Amino acid sequence: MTKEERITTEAAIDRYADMVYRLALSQMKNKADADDLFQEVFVRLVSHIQDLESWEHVKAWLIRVTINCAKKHYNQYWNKNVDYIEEPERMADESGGYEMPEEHPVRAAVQKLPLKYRLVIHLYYFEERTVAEIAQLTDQKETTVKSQMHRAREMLKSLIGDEL
Amino acid sequence: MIDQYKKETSQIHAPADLILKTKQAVREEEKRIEWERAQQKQNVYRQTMVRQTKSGYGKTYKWALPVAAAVLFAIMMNVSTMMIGNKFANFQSNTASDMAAGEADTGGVEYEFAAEAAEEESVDMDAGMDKVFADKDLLTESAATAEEEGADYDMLEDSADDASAAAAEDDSIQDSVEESAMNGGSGAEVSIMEVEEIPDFCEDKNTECIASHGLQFYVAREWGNKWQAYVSVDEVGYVITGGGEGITDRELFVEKAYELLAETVEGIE
Repeated sequence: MTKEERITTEAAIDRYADMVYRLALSQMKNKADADDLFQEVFVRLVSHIQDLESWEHVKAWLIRVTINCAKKHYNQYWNKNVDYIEEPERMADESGGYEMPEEHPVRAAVQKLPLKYRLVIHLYYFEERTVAEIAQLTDQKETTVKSQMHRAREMLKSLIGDEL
Repeated sequence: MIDQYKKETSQIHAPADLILKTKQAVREEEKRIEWERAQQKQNVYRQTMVRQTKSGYGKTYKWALPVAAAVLFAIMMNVSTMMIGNKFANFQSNTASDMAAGEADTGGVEYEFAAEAAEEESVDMDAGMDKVFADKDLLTESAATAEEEGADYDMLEDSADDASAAAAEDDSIQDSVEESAMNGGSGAEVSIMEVEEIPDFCEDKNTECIASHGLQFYVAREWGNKWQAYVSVDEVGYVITGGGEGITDRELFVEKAYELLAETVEGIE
């Protein structure tokens, strides 16, 4: 896609669907919730797309809204007090989906981390955001982000072991 | 670990059906937002039109009410004037019988309100009025004749005016005699009139019922020191009107009214 491509919601879906989906998966407890989160984020984009001036702006907006919607989801009473006991489902189609632990051990270990640690790990290592950008996206101080990063790595070490 | 994490994560892609469902939801949301904007525009347009209509209606309504009130007031004034004129005409016809009988006197007058006498009075009054009109007709005929002969019509009209002025002067003389008779020289002007129905002022909230000498007087203020009262004696109703400098309250007026009633009606002392 060229830079001159007109900024529309459908074009944003084509561009950033994988990014939003991966972020949603890292934030939610199961695939169904992740799918709902994915859809909600892009539907919200419809009413805000005219305010976004560039694709970078759109990307940052999508990450921020995904994080906020995930927080809102966990703040609801049902989600605070109810936990799922079913096994994670595996997508049969080629486009992938929720992976099984034995296929993606590092991801599986990351999924076991608390939500805020998962987020900083994903944004830092996969989205390659700086600490300052992560702090802005999550409305936290940089020192807090650094501290979360350090703790997350410590926990991953204990989960995965010396392979880190 | 970092590379491993990146590799594992890059293998994850958004499902195709999820993307299709999301695009469909996005299109529906876009349609909903468009519809809402159109509704808002329509509502604004409607509100503007209603405001304009209401202001127009308000303008019309504003002028209609005072005009209607003014017309109604004018009609009521005309009706009141006519009614007052009729009352005075009736009263004059009643008192004219006394004058015709030759009983007008400053020392004290006895008023008789016999029905037959009233009829005679009205006949006399009518005869008098006919005379005036007859004179006028004569004058008119003369005027026509004079015109045919080329005489001055203005001169004849003046003479007709003189005749009517003379009649009016006679009336005023009668009035002053009546007044002096009614006053009895006290400075207060009080008159009495027999009525068939209870007058409307009896139902007014400002009308007060005063008992005096065994009779119920319904007293109301007309204006200033002018009063009117209604009293029923032996199933016959009387309205007494009048006032003056000395009559400053209802009780004083009732006293005067009773005095006049006693003078007028038999059986009251």
